[in-house]
Amino acid sequence: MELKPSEVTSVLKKEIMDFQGSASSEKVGQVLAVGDGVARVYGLDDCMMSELIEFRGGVMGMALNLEEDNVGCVLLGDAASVREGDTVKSTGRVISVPTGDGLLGRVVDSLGKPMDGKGALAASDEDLRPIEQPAPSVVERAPVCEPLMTGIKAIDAMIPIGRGQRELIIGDRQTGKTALLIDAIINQQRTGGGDPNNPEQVLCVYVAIGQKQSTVVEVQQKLDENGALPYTIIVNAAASEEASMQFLAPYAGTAMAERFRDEGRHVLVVYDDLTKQAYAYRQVMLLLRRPPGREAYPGDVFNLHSRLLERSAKLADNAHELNPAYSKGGGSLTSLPVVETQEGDVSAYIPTNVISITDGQIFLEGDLFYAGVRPAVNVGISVSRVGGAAQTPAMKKVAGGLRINLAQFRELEAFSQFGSDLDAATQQTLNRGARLVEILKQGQYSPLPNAEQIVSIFAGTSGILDELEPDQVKEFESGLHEHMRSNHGDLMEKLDNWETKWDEGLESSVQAACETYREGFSA
Amino acid sequence: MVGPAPTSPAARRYAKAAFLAAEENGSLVAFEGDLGAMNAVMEVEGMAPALADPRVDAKKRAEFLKRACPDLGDAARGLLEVLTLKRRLEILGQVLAASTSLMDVHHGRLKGTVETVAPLAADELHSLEAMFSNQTGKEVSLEQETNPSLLGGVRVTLAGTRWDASARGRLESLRNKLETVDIG
Repeated sequence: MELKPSEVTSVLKKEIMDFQGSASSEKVGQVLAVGDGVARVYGLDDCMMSELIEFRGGVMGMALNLEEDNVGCVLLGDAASVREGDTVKSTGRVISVPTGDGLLGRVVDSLGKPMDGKGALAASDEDLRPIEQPAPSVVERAPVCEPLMTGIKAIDAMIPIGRGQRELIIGDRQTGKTALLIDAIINQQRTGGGDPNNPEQVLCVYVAIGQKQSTVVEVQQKLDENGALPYTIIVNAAASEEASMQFLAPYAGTAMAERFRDEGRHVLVVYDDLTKQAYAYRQVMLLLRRPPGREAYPGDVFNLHSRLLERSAKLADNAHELNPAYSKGGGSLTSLPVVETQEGDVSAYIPTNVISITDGQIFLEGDLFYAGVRPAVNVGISVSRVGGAAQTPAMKKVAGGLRINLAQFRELEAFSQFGSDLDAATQQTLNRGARLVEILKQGQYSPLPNAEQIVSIFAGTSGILDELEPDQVKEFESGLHEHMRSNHGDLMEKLDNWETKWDEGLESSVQAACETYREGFSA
Repeated sequence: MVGPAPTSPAARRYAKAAFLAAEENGSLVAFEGDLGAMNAVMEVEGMAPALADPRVDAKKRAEFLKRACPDLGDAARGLLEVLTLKRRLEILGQVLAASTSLMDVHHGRLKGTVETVAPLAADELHSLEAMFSNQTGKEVSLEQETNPSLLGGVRVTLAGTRWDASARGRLESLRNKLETVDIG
């Protein structure tokens, strides 16, 4: 956009001529103490909880502790310009962020300010939404019933996620948590061709909390390279930002996502990660002198996460008739919160809290990761409590025995280390298991469509792979996908349809197609 | 200052107790006079730190204050005795401030400040006070402060609310408006 100085001057001249300067009245207080990103303010008797407070130099703060004679605020900007004795103003507003289509493809901070150098956001004052919103009520919700495909075989087959679900991704550092989220976001391209204006397109919000800036840049680049950025909003509260910005980021991201949910769209929000949000919240609360509890977290750290994750919901089709806040029913907000564990300890405070809030967890294990099983999903302790109802019927049928087969394999695998004489049935289970593990391995940034996943899982569970060596499985799989798409396009199209039922006719056609390919592969 | 000076919860508790005692005895008027007298002593330069000096025996400090204000009533005298006994004499200044605030609330008085570039004439100040008295329904008294940075006009701060009719305030609101003008 080119700006002409003369035009700017005329606009400003008009504003100045129309300006009506009148006496203003505002509630004021005085800074008693400031430091470490928090300030205590005297006065402000009518201050609201979470109200925005304006400090000198336009620095904003948020009232968090309303005490008898002072107000404890967290500063949301550079604290260096705030001095003791400064006059502060209350604004009468709570923190709001811009929402809407203008944010898609952008990187913003916790207050919704753009930070990607692509100019101002296309969002007006009407697009502002408070970052804290009540969760939809019981009557406004519907049970989770539609699948949210991640494109990752291990997850879509065994730990299916439904739209409106909260599924925790938990694991130690460097176990592929972020990679899994990125793949899930990239895979949403299949829902609407990556066009954010397509009502079928699942929109995504990636909330980076306490991440390295380099990681966020990488995420942005990968999403861009894979065509996922146009339907994604990145909310970035990097490790270098104030703790207050870090603990607000998930709420800001959720407010942005809720706008779409309330308009009847489907949204996927990933919080990467809530452990760092809890660290930031603990820091702020200790500085505000709230009493510390277990692991020095404040008493309301459970509520910090539960009120956030309760906002994920599948709305009823008639939600807009029940509550005018929704412009259209049927929307959903799915969340994938991430929690990082230390040495695989899932019984620490924050992991247990978030496990109890969410509708299941995907546990990523370091040992599996280093053994080359990627994604390193430990299917034994990963569950999805509500996703089963949302799984596509074909996948449900094909992957039905997968979990138990793998569990038997894991058990026998440990047992077989001690003895060499194994009966044929045990040997068969071990062979099958090794091939199933291979078939569930998947490269990064390569989420698969539903049909390819079903064909792969079917090849594993039906014994088509049994005669191959485990190291041939990968090559076989990619060849099989190609073969199926080029020679059995109609079958694949059928499998891609979520409604398709898995009957004997379909099974025999897929089996025949797979066997034809195997014969050619082995020859 | 945007309102009464900040006081500690302990000071407010002593102040409230003394106020209630005076009210029960029916000696609020005398108590108010005593507060004025003690405040006047405290305002003498170096007096407040001296009265809070832990190196001097607390009884001697209290005795000095009593000699400086010889005609203290029962409530004020009792307050001093209790503060001495409880080793809380160092918060006397805050207790007096809190007591004065309680008195102001009791009598429906509001104290505020008016900032101007040049001092206001007495009748201008009175008319301002009358205007705010009408608006708030309380007896308003405004303390004058000169603030050249206002450039012109007046700025009144009363009970945590600031009315800004200064040239600087208007310029700032103009700046805010211009900053948000859509020129694209």
